[in-house]
Parts: sequence; C-alpha cells; structure tokens
Amino acid sequence: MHIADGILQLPVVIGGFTGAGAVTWYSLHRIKHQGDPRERIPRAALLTATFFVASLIHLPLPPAGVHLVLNGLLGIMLGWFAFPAILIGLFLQAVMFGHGGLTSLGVNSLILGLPALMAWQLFHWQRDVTATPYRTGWRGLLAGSGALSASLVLFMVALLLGLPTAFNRESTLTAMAVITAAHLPLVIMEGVVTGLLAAFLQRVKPALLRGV
Amino acid sequence: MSSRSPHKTDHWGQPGASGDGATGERLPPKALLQRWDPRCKMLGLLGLVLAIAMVNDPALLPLVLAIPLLLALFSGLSLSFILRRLCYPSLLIVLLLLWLPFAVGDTPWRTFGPLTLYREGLAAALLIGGRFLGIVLTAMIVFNSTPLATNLKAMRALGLPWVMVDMALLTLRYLQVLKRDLQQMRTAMRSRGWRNRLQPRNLKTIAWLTGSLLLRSHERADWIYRAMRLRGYGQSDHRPSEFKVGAMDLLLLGLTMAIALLLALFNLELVVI
Repeated sequence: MHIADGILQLPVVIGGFTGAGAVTWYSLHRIKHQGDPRERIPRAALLTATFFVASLIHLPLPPAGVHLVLNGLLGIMLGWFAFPAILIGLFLQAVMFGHGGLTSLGVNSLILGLPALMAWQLFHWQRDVTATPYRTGWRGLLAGSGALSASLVLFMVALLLGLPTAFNRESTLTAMAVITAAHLPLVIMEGVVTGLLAAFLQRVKPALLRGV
Repeated sequence: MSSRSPHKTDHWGQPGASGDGATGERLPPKALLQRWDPRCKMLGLLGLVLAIAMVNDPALLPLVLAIPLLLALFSGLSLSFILRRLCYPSLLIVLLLLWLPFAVGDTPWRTFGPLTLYREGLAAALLIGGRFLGIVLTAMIVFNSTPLATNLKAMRALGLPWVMVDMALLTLRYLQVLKRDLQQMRTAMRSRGWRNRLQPRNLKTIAWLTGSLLLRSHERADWIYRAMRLRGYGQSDHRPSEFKVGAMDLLLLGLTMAIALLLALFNLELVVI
C-alpha cells in the first residue's frame, strides 16, 4: 500500500508533505505536552524498529504472498508517537530499500499514519484495562482491520487525486475495485493478527498496551 | 563511474564502518558527491526531486534521466551497484505501466487482438515511468554518497525536530539487532517443525512471534535508556558543528538549484527547448 515516486502530481505531493508536516507537528506538540520525551524515545524507536522488522514477515497468501502492515497495532502501542514512527519507518524504507518513495513520503505517511491514530482512539475508547485477553483481542481485531480499511480508502483517494485527469473514469474505477478486492484478505488477516497480538500482550504484559 | 567496487552491503543495506555510503558502497576518496556538504546535498536533492515530480511533458524525460546520469558520474558508485538497486521496482508502478497504455486514451495507436494500445495511455505510462526512474535514481545516488546517519544529522542541522532525528538514529541502529533476533526465533520455530503455510494456527504463531519480539524490545529499551543517560544523553552538547560549508559546496548547491529551476521553467513552457 505504498505509492511510488513518479505517480503523484506535484500539487498532491506538496499537499501530502503539508498534511504530514502538520500532523507530525501536532503529534510532537502532544508528546512534549506529556512531559520530557527523552525517556520514551528509545522505547518508541525500538518499537518502530520492531514493527519495521515484523512487517517483513511473509504470509503465504496465494498467488504470491503478503506482508503485514501493522499500522493499527503501532497506533495502539505508540499513541502520539505512531505518526512520527510511521514517517521515519517509511523514510528508512524509501532510502534503504527503494520501497515507497521520497516525493510520496508525505502522502504515504498520511495513508498509514492517520488510520494508526484512529486505531489508537478506537482501541482505547472506554476500554477496561483489566478486561480479559479475549475481549481485548476483539478490540484489537476491530482496530487492526479498521486501520487497514481506512488506509485502503485513503490510498484510493490519493491515487484518484494524484493520477492525471485524462484517465478514463470507467477503467480507473475497475482498477480500484480490483485493488480493493485484492486487499480484502489482507484486511482480514491484519485484523486477526492484531487481535491475537493484543490478546497475547494483555495476557503477558498489559502495560505495553497503555502506550509509550 | 568506477567499474569495480567491493560491495559490503549487508541484508539491511547498512553502511559499513569505514565511511561507506548508506548502503555499504565503498566510495573512492575523491568522489565529488562524497565531499559535498550533506546539508547542501539534502537541499539540492529536495530541489531536484520536486522539479522532476513537476514534469508533465514526455519530451522532457531525456533531461530528467540526464540528472541521475550526471550525478552518477560524480558519485563514484559503480553501474552494477546502481542497477542492482533498481531490481525491486514498486508493484504499483509495474501494474500502472502495463495497464495505462491499454486502458487510457481516445486515440488508438496499435491493435493486438482484443487489446488496443492508446497514444495518451502510452504517453502517461512513459511519463510516470520516467519520473519514477528520475526520482529513485537521483535519491539513491545522493543518499548512497554519504552514510545515512550523517544524512540524518544534516537534516537535524537543517531544522528537523530532534525527537524525529533521535528516533530515526535509534531505529536505524536497532534494525539490525532485531533482524537478527527475528532470524534466530524463526530458525528455532523451524527446527521444531513449523512451516509457513496459510492456516489459522499459523496466524496465531506469527502473532505470538511478533509479540515476543515486542516484549524483548520493550525490556531492552529500558536498559538502553539508562545506558544512554549514563553516557550523557539529554545533556546540552557544546561540541562545534561537524558540518562546514565552503565556497565549492555553495557553488554545487547553486548549480543543482539552477538545473531544478531550468527543468521547472521548461515544464511551465517559460523556456522553449
């Protein structure tokens, strides 16, 4: 779900960077508002690296296989650190592996980062921190699937805004439908894995689910 | 461009210990891009990639592709290294390039059985493919001429918030450690008979594997923070800046910005080729 360099038009690129800059600024403002961030930075960085590594785990889904995105779980665990973490992760992916892109970095971080913040709110909304792992798992499933579904919607919007206007509307909509259908199994798998992970963490280390 | 190079790139494409590029490419000591001040280099890169993203005329693509070619000549990176890095193009780009010529446009150009190739679609595919190559190659060459950690420090010097830079440097540092952890854990799982197949049970195993990785990282983070505090993390830094801008750095920045501006003017048809 990465938009590569060269696809988006310049106004969308600039809009993406402006939006990502604004969300990053607000996230950092909230992080500093919670006290000195120095103690939380190593934890946030290590969790960012862990998500980066975990997203490389290959799931054998025919015909080729998929990789987890885990932006919902990242939101649940990192809170306001989630957006900067996604921005950093995407930057490192673009620079180290050539995945995603530098000019599409702003748009890509909005596509994955905003749903991560949404998942954080959804997961912690009226949550009983002493709930059973089973109930926590269901919350995780909703947050994980919800975040990836929202990312998919934002991805489509960015593509529609970013592609040249001369594109045939009918064939574009067909392509969008194919992309959505191709991503649906991943949305389900992402939700299941996030739910299982939330239940696991609630059982062994509930403090990890309370944010950085 | 040098044709020979002992590639030291590891699985993560991380820099080696002896001042190699961001992905381990050992550079000749005199490469111009390597000597260019990283802050000026970051600004120059920004100007170039934005100018390339602006291009909407396929006639400008030779000029777009000439930019990374010119940079490659002064980077000291080998051609084989650059081409190897292009082996993994985005799936989205490949699909778009295959789909556009047959799905977009009103002017048929060629017909292959039930498929019709349209001029407009072909032009759009060329444009997207050309911009993709131009941006990816330019960024890759610029980033590989300096260690990634130095580039991050240069971004800090240009005003990127310290929270972001500290997080990025620590993330970069621990990626390799965690990759090794993951490999060890997967080897242990395989030695117990686990096979990566699409089964509900396997999803649970993958979730618990990720959970264990998160738990290890969380515990490790507390030790790291204490070690960092002991070494002075959080104290004000009175060391002089490691970057120095000379006349040559400014000249190169001016030249790069002039090329970016020229490309933008060509694109806006304010200058005719």
